[in-house]
Amino acid sequence: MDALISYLVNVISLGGTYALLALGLAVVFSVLGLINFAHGELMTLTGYVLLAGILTGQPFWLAVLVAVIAGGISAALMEFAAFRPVRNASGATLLMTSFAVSMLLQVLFQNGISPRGQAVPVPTWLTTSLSIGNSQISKVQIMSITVGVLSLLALKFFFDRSYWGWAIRAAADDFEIVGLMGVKASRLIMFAFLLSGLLAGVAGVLWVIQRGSVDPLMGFKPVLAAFIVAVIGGLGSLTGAVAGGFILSAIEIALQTWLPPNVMPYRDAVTYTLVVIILSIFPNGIFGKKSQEKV
Amino acid sequence: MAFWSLFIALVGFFGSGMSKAPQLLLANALTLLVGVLALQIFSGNSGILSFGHVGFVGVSAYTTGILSMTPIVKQTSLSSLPVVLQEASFTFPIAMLCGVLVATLVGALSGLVIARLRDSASIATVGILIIIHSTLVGAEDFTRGSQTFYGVKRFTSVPVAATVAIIALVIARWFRDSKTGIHVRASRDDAIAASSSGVRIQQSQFKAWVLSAAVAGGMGSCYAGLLGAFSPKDFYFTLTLTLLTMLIVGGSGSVAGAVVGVVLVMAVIENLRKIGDSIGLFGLTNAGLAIIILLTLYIRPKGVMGFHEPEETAAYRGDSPILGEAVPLADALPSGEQVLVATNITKRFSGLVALDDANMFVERGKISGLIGPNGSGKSTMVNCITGISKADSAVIQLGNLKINKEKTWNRARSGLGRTFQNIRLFRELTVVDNVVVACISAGESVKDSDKSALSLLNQVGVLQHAYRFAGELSFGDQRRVEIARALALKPSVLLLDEPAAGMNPAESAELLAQFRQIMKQANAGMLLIDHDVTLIRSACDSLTVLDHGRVIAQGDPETVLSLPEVHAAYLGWGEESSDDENSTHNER
Repeated sequence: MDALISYLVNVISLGGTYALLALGLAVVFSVLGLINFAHGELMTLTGYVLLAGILTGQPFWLAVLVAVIAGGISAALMEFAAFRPVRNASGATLLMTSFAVSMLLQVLFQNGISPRGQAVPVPTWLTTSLSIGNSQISKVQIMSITVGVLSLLALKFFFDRSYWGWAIRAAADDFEIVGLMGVKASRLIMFAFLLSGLLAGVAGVLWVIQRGSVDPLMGFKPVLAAFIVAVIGGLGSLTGAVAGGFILSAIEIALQTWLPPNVMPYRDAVTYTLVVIILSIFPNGIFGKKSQEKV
Repeated sequence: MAFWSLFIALVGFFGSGMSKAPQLLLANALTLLVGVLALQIFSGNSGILSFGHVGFVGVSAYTTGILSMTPIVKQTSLSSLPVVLQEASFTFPIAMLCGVLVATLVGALSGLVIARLRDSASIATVGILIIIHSTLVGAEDFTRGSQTFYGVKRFTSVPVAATVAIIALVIARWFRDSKTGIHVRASRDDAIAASSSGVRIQQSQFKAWVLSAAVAGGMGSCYAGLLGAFSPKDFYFTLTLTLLTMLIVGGSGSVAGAVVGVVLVMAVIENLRKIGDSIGLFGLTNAGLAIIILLTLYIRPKGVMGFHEPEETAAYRGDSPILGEAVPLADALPSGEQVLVATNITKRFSGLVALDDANMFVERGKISGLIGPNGSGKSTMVNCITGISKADSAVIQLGNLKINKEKTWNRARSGLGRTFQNIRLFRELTVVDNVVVACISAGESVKDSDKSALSLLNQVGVLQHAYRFAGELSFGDQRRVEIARALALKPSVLLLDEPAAGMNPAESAELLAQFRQIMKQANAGMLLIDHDVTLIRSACDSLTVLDHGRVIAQGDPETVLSLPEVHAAYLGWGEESSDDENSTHNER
């Protein structure tokens, strides 16, 4: 029972972060067909801004807020500087562009800040744990679950009720039609990047607080996971991104908890093999629709 | 290809006389060339970027290392290795062969998944890389985990690397123009047109993937013998970035591009490394590679050498191809027999019923017309018959074959040739190769395909453009190439979706005469979709009228066109109307 509770807590807190990241990827994919490798570097950047805020003595909430906003703004800048020149290019070109941007930013962080990890002093009230029944749950985890779930709910509201949310959902279905309906493509793309950056920002803050440090390569690995999440959910499907996040996290945590010790070193290999098997059963992802190209 | 092989051979020959440092650099460049060629085979031809190939390089490097080490070295560095491997000690060529074999096996296994995916294939290759990387880290008994794996003999001299590079080059160049290579390239340019031309996309991509994994294995063996000591992180994103940069800078579409890319990027890397060492900047090479990629994609997205081999472009300048004998297209059969019977076709798009129990037939040697207002389901009908759209229900009989359960490529190979309303050619292939794609599907060898493709191009009147790239042709000529490509399938039925769109009456009359000629030669039946009632009336032997997905009239054109319901649905505003008015009419 306790094992189950702590399993669920772990799944929800990791899955929430994956879902936020994958949603960020999915939003941009919907409008541009771009799978953004550099999404992870937005996370990393948020981490550094958060660190700067705390080190300069800002209140914690302000540092977090500024960090998340910085994530959003840098994403929009990234679109402007790096992706605009290749806007109508093929998916492969876009993917390669984002891969290069990601590598470039990593080197910039390594040289501009430090190749080594920096400790992020998280406020002490966050570092204690609560006991529920017999199991200990850290406040960081509770916070990350709360923030994750609240962000997802806020997003759902945004997608269902607001003009831009509607436009992005429609774009996920058919980008051209949205253009015909009079939504300005440039603005929609800019907005999608802003939103995806904010999501990366929230995920980045959660990630940094849970780990207590930030380093130049921090964002790369979780975003690789989010890639896979977006693909098993169905590329460009917003529901799929969330579902995929929890599926991957459920697999990862289950293996981490229950895999026999002698197989443990192969944990990542097993996780991704399972994912690849899921993919071969659902080539378009679980929630993906078959791409209907007009002939 | 001969040129590049000679180039590498000379480099290898002179390189082996140089001093130590440049020799090492040269062997490194040649080894990387093998990897870039591996990527070219898959990514260049299929258009799907692969991040996974470095994994195959790693698998092969470790295999080669373990098998070529002497047992004494293994006792110290790999004490927990299974006894069989502990005692094994092969010469380099055999160890290399084993490395390639293991890489090929891993490639085949992963290829089963990769070939099934479309948009997400690139991302799945990232997954493959992660799986292989974490397996290498996890398998400590074999690889020393993330620690350095050392003690491999440094057998990769310049001549060795040059030999492997030449072999890789020959394989890559051969594959590009092989049956599978041409099919994979066709699917890169247009997947729908490819499957309609009989290309088995999944199977072709699978073959390309496995072959490229094998070549990547070749790089792995050389790399092991070059480095002597390595760890799993040497086979991760940095090497991936290096190889992809070389591929993209040179131009992923050609083998020549791979060679040029390696030369250019190596020069940049070497200089950056020296600068980086002297001023103490971290990761300057990676930053440099990233910037080169971005510049290439912004300024010259197809790379320095473009999508084409130099000799392809040269052939175009030479012009006027030599014609073989005309190939007979089909056995003469009595006309009038029904070759295509499609009945009971229903297709729904969520709520909308696009086709409601529609039916259609085509007779050999005759032209069946299909007309109807915009949105009445004409194109949907063609798509259901060819298998591009999956009908909710359908019985489709092609000759004696029931094809409604077959995949698109198989329907095409069974004798269903088509053209598209919006022209779909393989734009980066030469005109003649566009037709060759279908000839290969029809079972011809590459050599015969060239001949019959040229004679088909002659037949539709675009022979003079045979060696130009399809994307460069005028609209009308592109349509003619599409028709030649459809004919190359030796079809018993030709489905032409608005072939006269955008033509003036004189041109469409000429086209019509051509159709009659083609049908006589091909002894096929034809389904003609068009808006031009004058054309339809003079061309068709029978006529089917669709409205809102239903067949409202069928039979002799004169009779059908005089029916009041046809007038109401379609002709109510007179025959001279343009398409614009047509759509206004429908909205009314």
